[in-house]
Amino acid sequence: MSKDLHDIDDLFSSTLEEYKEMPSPALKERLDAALDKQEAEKYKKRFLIWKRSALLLLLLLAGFVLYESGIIKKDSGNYILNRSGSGTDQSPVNKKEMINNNSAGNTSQIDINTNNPDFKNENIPVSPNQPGNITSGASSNTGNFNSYHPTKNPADQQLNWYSVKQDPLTSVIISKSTKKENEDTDYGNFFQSNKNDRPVIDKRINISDLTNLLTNNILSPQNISVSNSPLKNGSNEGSRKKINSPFRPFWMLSPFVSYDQAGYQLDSDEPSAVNSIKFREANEPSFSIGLLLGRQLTQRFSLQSGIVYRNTVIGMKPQKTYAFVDPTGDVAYKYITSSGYAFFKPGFGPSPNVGDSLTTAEAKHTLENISVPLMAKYTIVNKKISVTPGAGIEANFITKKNLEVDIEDPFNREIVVIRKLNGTKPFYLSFIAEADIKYTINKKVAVNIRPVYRQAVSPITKNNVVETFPRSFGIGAGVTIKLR
Amino acid sequence: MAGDRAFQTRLYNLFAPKMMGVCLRYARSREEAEEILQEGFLRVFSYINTFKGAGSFEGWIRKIMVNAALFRYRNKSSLQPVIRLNTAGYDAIDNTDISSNLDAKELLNLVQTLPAGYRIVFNLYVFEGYKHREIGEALGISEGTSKSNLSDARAFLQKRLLIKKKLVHYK
Repeated sequence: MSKDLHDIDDLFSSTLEEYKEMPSPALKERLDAALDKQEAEKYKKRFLIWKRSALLLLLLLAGFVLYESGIIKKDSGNYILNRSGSGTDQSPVNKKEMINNNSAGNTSQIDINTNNPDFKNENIPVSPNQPGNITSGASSNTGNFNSYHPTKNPADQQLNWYSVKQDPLTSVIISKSTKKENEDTDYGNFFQSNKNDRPVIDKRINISDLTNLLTNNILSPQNISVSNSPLKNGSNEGSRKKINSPFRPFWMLSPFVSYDQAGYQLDSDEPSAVNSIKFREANEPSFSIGLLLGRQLTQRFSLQSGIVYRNTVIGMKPQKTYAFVDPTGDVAYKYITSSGYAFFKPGFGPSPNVGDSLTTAEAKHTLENISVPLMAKYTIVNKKISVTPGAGIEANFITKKNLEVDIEDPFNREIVVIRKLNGTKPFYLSFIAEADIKYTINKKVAVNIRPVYRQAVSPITKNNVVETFPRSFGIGAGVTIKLR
Repeated sequence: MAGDRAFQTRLYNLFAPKMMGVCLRYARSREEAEEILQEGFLRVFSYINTFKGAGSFEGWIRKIMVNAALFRYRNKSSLQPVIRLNTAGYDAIDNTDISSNLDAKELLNLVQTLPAGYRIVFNLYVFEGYKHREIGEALGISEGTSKSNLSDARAFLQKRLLIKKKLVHYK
């Protein structure tokens, strides 16, 4: 019998070893189609990094554009003398110096020396309590303001300054309102710019005279007294017009901690797989902690980004697992979760064969990720309380996938810790919406409560029985520090 | 070279008939064999740059085909444990041309009628020269199971051959 059996081996081996058969022509076509598909996938993967880079650049560009728009607005609010000559230098320092407090409300005079070659700025400060002169050199006969004479006297910086804004038709003199003047309406709100920067137009200054002086040829130095009457605070409400202050964009730093109730949305062609996972998995309370950096671009709009660490815990009920051949060729029990699957072998008992089953006790699945949100936000202010709803996207990088499975039989008990999950993507995108409720402590600090909702827009799984889209609702608390 | 479609076509035309013979032994049907062959050639074209020239090129391709067949077997059998089969319970082969002598085609049909577990072990042992330990490692089964499956496969084939011979004799 044994010889017959080996004869069988030889019979089959000798007959079939060199056996050839032509496959059907359709196979070649299918093979070509599969090769085309493979190449297309390679092509897609090749451009994936470019697509992601493009998305990132787009976001950065959007942020930059918004930021720049805020800067432009700020510049347009500076009350400086418009350029009418060939001067090009507009030093920001000079612009700031153009507007100072008018705490004393005294008489102002103008001191302009257009003959001084050192003064190349067209901005003209008006210094009070000083001999105010407008002088013009013989060579200057255009009437344009091409020189700026900054006061070197430190005492002047404590007093009233005026700036002159000239348009093609006329010039206006702008004085600043005093801090004291605004104290009664200053709530110290986080989002309002400094009231000291608020300028008013003082119509009592003789604008036409000044315009004539500045636009006509002045051949010899002469003193010009703009006004000799004292300018008292609060005495000219009827003739004073407030102009909206230029908003200065600022940065905000917001550390926070949040309690999250996480969950997920499962998609699959197999409803039984979805139901099975939903039955055996239950999200436990999770948390997130982060540091957000915001840029208040206007009084209403801001952009916010930062870095957030999130820890999500999912409890697992006991389940029956089956042995499969794992990707390394070994046979192990396959443990399926909503965010991937893992292969494990208990330390006790015989090695499993394909198809063997093992019932596990409870298990705990932990997911950790680092997220980078980018949100556009709109602020609604009511005195000391502000509400800032916002929405945006969040890039999530899964940094840790941990599965602790409790296995026990009548004689053994073991906790298997699995640190590698198959079928989990390292990156996914989420939509994020939040409403930041702030209470202003002072001009620099506010405390906040932050309800947040996140919903993944791309699955965290790949080649798993289900496609999983995590979502969470969290309540966070933190502080916001205003930076300049 | 990996992406040269003309080269791939030439390679396919050169080795496809021989490799089809290999795949037919591991498969239950011609359709399944063609699926294995397709998967195998996809791997060949993808990894051809990794062939270092150690051993024959045909041997390298053949190994890929065998692995493709084993991969398929692993996937399909993963839901069921390997079970022993009572070889006494099998009926005669229906689709075999018993009026002619036992040629390669008939022997191939006999191999294809083996249950998957037996067929794979028989192929690996007889045609690829694997030891039972190696078969056990490749399939994720014990050495004893491999021996048992081979023994049952031989008994099954012997019985079928005897039936065929008797039928031919009576004819």
